[in-house]
Amino acid sequence: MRPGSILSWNLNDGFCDGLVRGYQLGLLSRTDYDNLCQCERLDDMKLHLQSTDYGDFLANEPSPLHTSTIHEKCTLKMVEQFNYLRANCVKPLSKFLDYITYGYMIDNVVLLITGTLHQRDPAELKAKCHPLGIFRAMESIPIGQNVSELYNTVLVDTPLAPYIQGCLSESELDEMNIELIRNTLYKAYIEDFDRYCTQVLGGVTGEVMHELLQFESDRRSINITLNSIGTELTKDDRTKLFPIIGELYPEGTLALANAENEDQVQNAVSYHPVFKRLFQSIDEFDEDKSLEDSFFEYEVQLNMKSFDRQMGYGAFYSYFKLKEQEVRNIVWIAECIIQRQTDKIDQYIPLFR
Amino acid sequence: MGSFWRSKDMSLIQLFIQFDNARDTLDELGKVGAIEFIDLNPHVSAFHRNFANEVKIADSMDRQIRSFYSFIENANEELGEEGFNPIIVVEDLAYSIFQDINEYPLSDLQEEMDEFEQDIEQINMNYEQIKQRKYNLTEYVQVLEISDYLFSEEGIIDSIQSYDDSFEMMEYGENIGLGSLRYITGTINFQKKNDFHKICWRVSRGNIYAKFEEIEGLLYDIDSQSFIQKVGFSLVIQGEILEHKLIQVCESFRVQRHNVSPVFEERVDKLHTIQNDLDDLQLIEKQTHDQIYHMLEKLSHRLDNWKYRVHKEKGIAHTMNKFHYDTGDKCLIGEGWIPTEQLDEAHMALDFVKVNTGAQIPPLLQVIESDDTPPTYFPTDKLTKGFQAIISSYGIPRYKEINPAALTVITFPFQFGVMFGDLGHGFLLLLFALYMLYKENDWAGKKLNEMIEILFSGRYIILLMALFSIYVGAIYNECFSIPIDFFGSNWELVTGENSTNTSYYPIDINRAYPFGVDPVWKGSENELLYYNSLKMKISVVIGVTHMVAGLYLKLLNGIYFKKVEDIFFEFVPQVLFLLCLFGYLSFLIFFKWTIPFLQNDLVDVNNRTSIYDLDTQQAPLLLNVLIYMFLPTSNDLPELYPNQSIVEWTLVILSFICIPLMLIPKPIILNMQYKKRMREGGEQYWEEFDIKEIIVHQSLETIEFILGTISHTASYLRLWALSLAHAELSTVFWELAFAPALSLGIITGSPYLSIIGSIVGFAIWGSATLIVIMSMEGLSAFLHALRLHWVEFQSKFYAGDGRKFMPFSYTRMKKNLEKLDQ
Repeated sequence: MRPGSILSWNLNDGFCDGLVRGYQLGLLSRTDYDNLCQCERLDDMKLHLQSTDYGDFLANEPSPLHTSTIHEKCTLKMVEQFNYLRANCVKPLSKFLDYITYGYMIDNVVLLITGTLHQRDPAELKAKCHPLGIFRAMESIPIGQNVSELYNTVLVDTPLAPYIQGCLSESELDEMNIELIRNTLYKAYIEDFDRYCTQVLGGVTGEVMHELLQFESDRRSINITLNSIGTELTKDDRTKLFPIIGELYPEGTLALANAENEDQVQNAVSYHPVFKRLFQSIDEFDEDKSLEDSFFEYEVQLNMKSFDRQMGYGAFYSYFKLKEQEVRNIVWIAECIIQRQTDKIDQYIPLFR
Repeated sequence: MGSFWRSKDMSLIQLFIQFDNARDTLDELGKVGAIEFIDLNPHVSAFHRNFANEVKIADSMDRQIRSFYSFIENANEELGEEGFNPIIVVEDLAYSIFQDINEYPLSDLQEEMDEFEQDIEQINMNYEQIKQRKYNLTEYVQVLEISDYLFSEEGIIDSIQSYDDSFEMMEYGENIGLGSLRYITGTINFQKKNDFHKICWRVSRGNIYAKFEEIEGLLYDIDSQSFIQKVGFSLVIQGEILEHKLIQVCESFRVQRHNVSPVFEERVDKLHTIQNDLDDLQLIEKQTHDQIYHMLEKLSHRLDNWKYRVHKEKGIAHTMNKFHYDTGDKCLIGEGWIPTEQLDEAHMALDFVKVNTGAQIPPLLQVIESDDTPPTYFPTDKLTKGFQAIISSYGIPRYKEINPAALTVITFPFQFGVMFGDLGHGFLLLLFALYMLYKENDWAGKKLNEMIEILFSGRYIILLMALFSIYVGAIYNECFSIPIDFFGSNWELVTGENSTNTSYYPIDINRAYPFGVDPVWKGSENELLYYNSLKMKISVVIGVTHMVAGLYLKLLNGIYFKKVEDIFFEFVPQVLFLLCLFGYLSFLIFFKWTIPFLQNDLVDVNNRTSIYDLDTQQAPLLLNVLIYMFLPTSNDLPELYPNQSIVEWTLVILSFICIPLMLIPKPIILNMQYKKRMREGGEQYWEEFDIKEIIVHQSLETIEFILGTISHTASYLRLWALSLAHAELSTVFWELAFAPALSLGIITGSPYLSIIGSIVGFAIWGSATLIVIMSMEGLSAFLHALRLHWVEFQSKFYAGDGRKFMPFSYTRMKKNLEKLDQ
């Protein structure tokens, strides 16, 4: 039965839905952020985080703390929640949650390839991988010398296999290649995820997820364009990397493909009210705020909205996006404290309305 | 009793301490454990408080202690395998939580703990290295042992023959290392074997000969730091490039590679050297074990002491954070609640500090006046603790309010007994309670099974419940549903003229059965009729008594708090209302019992054939009497006593008068009192007062009470309902399980069947009694008694909006810690 059917929702997904909504209430509040921003040392942060849902997750860490420890433990907390949900869910929610992990898998693959390129220790690399994106035989990624080899030896067994088929090539791996792999994989992943949500799951899940994934794909298109300006990437290649599910497709992406500087990028998307506003917001306000930040802010708003919809899986996806943002915020605040950049400390992305 | 009836008198105190002797002072006060300090900086976040640093130090020491504990736990596990006795953290006899913190300065403690931590880290590191080396070597030995198979000739030859024919067979034949063939040997996690195999195969494009062999027993895995199932493997390949690639694969799979020579003799030599190495290692390991054991022993004697010490420091720091800190004068100002009778103790503690530390400005404690509501404090003992918990889980009594727990000690088990009344079941419950009392000293403070823990903490409640269910069971005259003829029944079975017609006749009309129910009723035709009538009436009488008692407590509260309006416009009309309706019903119940309703005034004992029966025409149903009180015109019931309708009519009018008395005067009086306070207080005076809210509140209260009077009385009928269910269930189990099985032997006349029957029958009956009646019925009766107290009784007087007294006390801290440890 499809998710979103009133008849079976509580039977199949009610428990997990309750959990995730409970988790969402446990996100740090405005007062929590205010308090964290007033901290002078990382130990103070630890003291304060103890009174939140994070609990005593740092209790067994000796002082002095490091930002990396905080990041690691926060992520671990999120992974625990994810795994708990994953262990308690049934089809098709389990499949949906698996889809969420594919994104992390792509990141891990790219991380491992880059790491090997720079001759890092495999064990160290593995420790850096996101725990949600770990898959079997991931360890052997460094063996591959080119994409085909990678595909043939390792990735053919993973869920990423269908995604990589778009970028099979025999050429040696280099920085440029890796970025191409990442974006091709991501494009295929987003499109597949969107297809799964809208066509297989449908209903509320489809509606909510489509909106989120559309924004994600548009954001990627813009970022790809901005990052490829001045590189040897051809227009055709660039167009190939744009996901085709976004609202900017096809007029916007066509214009983006031709853009050669930032103003042209802005012009290319200015017919779209949301992106027009996002671009304007960084022009008008302080220079510290980057486009990245305003994208994040908008994404947070979108993700908050998906909790307003009932009987769909959007909330699961959104919760982990929000939690990820929260971890980024905590790490940002911790970094600011360590580097004594108190004037920049409140530039985190607010996760509250 | 006094302090259990109403909570202890509390005083608000103010404490001035010089910063220099603040810790000593709080240490002494913690020993007394009588003051609940008020947080004077509620809006300051945890790390902005003045002594956040001290808290952090204590926290980090706490972390060290936890790591010591986990170290002991791990070491015990490992050393236990080596035959060492497990080390238990012992209580330091020379130390108690009441020792002064000065005797052992914090800095010394910190130093000592740091030293220990370093030693432990050092020793652990060495030990880890030794272990890893050992594991590595054992693994090597294992691989060598299976290498015969891995290099078994036919396997190799097969694989070689599958290679290109141009392969130089000569070199292999000369046994000098398989020529251009290269080989990799090692071990891999059993779970990763298939992935590994697949990847190797893919990387070499199938040009590989791989052989896997399971290794018996578990081997240590460095990555996961645990023992896992491993497999040994050998890969035979051709060419340097491929070898290089496969080594990369091995590395990425975190494979443990062990070089094994394909030559048998070399392998034997290698095995010998490794065995020697292992023997050496064993010696070193043994020494390390001894070292660890000594360290543990030393640690185990101090750890307990340290743990309490660190928590004391933590408590002191947290308390100091609640104080105002005057940085200029280096003076701490705190406020707190203390039971008035313990003021002297606190003063003595402060004097002690003054003498001991020779402080120039001694700590100063003074009582201050306050309008704030103090916390509620009831000292409890073993018996009352359980009952207080029952009451407190509904709501902590308001300061100085009558504590319902005082009456609950008896009424609760009694009402349980009414529902669970049975001599036999009560006796079983009593045995259980006595067993728990017998085990009291053994079990106290120990970790028990969660279910047992609950029962154990309520052991005195269960004891009283058992006693009362025996008592009520004796009244019901039921022992496992069977009546016992203690005093000789008052009835006699008489066969009439027509021999088929037998019925019971009283032996002596003037004699009543001395105690409880005449056993003859059980099993008689009108058994249920009789028992139901009796139990229902008892329920109503108990209910009305219980509720009137609740109202009486309201009167006492009104007198104590000097609330005249509560007495005259709440208590008086309420008690009148209740008594006019249901008090009257209770009166009727007793009155009706006194009337024999006999058709023949005297029974001719000799002439038993004469009709002897109740005159039902003359005995009205009491329920109808109550209903027709409100419908006097259609009343055609027989009167129980002369002028009954006049009396009833008066009662009804009286009860109706009570309603406006409850509803109207109190809001008016409150409003007048408020206006008076406004006049006296002058213009500055302000308080929250909303007359509308009070009127709404009062009307709700009134409606609730009036409807509640009826529904609560009906609610007490659960006493009857549950005891009926209880009696019927036990009858069913007896008559359908045990009795037929017993009679089996009698009917067939076979002694074997009668033995088997009694065993089987008893098993069924016994387990049904234990599971269904003792556990389920018992729990159900407990919950219903709980409900009667929480809802029907306490709604009559109980505010229950108090706050529990939580003093800063070492004894309390120790108890909490012990609970945490479990």
